[in-house]
Amino acid sequence: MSVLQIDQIRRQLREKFPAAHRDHIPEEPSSQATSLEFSAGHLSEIISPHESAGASLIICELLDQKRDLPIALVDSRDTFDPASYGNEKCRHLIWLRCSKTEQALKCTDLLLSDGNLPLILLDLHLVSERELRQIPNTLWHRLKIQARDSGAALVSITPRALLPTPHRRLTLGGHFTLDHLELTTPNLQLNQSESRQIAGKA
Amino acid sequence: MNYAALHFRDLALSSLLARDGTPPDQPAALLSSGERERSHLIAVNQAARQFQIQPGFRTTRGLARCADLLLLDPDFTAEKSARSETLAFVDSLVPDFELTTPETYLLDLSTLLMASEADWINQTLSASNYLALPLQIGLGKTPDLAHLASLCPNQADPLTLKLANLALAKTFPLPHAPILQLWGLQTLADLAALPRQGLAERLGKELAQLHDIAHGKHHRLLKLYRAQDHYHITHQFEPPVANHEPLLFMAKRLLQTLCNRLHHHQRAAAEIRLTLAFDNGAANTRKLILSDPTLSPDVLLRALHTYLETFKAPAPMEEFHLELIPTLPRHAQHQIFSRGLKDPNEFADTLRRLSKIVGPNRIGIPHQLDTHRPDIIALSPTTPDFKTPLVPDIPPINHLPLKRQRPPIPINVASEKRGRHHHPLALLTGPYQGQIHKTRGPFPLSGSWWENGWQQAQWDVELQNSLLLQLAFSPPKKWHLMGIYA
Repeated sequence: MSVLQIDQIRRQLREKFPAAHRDHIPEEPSSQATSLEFSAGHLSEIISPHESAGASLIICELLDQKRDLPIALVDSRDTFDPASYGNEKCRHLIWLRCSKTEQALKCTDLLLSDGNLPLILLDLHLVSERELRQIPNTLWHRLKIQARDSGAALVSITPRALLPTPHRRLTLGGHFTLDHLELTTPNLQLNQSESRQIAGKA
Repeated sequence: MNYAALHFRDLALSSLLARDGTPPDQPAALLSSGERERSHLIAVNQAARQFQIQPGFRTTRGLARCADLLLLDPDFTAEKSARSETLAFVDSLVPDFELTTPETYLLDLSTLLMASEADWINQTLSASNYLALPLQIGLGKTPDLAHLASLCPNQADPLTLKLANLALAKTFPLPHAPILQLWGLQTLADLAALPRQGLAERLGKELAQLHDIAHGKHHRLLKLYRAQDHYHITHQFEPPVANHEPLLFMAKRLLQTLCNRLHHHQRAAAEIRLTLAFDNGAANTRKLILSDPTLSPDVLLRALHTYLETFKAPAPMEEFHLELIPTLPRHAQHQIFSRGLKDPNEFADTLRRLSKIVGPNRIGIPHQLDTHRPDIIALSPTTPDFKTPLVPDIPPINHLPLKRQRPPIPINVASEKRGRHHHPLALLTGPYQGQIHKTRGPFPLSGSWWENGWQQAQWDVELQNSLLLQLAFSPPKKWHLMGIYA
């Protein structure tokens, strides 16, 4: 039985017998969080068209979601700042501090083929355009097959559309000012916008 | 008779006599360790007993009774070797036996087909000739009766055993021996003739139990001896090999054998110990702990492969020793409502591979340490159970996360001194340049003044193109780009 089928059965059981596994029901997702559910076994892409569009808020939102297993963050530029998220959120994260894009892609490849962790975040946000161009399309095809076989979901955070046929593609449209640093996080989330969802499955 | 007892009398001494080829009529005694003048006899042979020499005598007293007494120092190697030989001998006789004392074995004869008991005793005695050790055999309908019979020479009735000899053997509890002697009791038969209840009331339950043993009323179960299994294999390469591929090829086959052995004993491998011996005399030992006990040769081979991939041999390998440490297999039912790791061993292997790609201490569960100094973090090693140390939660200061530059990028900033602090006006160099539209700060930070103190003033700045950056000013006039609010 594939992982997708098991997840589907779990979801159906959860809906039908909510009292039986009250402890395992995920917290009531907000409208914003609903749009941040990524299908298992598929590749998704989040585009941050400019540096301060709110890409880190995506990680923040995903860490807030209740999960059985932690998220893997493949940090291609070693820019993740645990202090910005707090220790409680970081308990649900496995952080891979890469120094090169090539390292990050190798790590993603291994994690996807392993398939033990359900969600892998590949952060290519601050990678230069020159390095992004060097990533061959065949690699994404390989990762897509591995995700399909292992049932893990890969979410890539990129400065532009990079994946040839992602299952889902979101574009961040946040514009923040210094005033937002002192505001609470939910207010900031409202500034994010979802651009479109690819209808056809890859 | 269902049980037999084999008693190798004075094994420590007999093994030395057998090793040296000493004739049995030579009086001999085993000395205690220490100075010869203060030593005493810890065992004597039958020939020495004829001179009324007993264990516990001073050496000088023993020599006074027999000037030809052969005195021998203990040799633990010879004794250990003799024990192994006797164990192998008994193992060849019956499948089920108990190692009651290092000198005595209790055998279960119920599964053995024999013409007569006397024949079996004769055959056993003749089969033990190669050991060259004195052997006494006793038969009994209960294990303890057989044991008592083996303490009597020449297959005599166990009830003829002298109580003094029983007390010396120390294999059965015999309290109040002086009282029994005062009562005039000499043999076990004398004790068995007493009424049990009165004996128990006067001298306690232990003598009552011995009374039951003598009457064959106490029938205990044997504590069957099972040899400790070892799950290790050594392979020698001839000629020595230069890379790890032949090793993996052989290991695949040998792991299958070891896993079959483990499976046969309802065990699983918890750890691999690999020892490599090289042509130049060097050796390397590595312990690979598995995250989940397994019986799969593929999983074990993968762990070996991952280790050997990056291992640099100092010289060609000539031998490898593979050992699996057994444990009880883990039986855990998967939860239907929550998701766990599909394969903990594979995940542990993946973590090892990832660690090799990103480098040591570059993968783990992060947590911030309790300090005001920026970017002081720790990584807890990732394990398949995702256990993390309990650390206090330090809530973030800003609500927009920072993408940190590691290390901070030195930049030139046009600034103006207002009061005590330098206020940034424009970024002149670095990846993000331009006029600063708005600032927030300064946030002066300092610490470790008692050693190499540090001090800086942090600024949050907004550029004209809506870019939010964090800058740090360090006296006297250094500016760094700390990160970008993304």
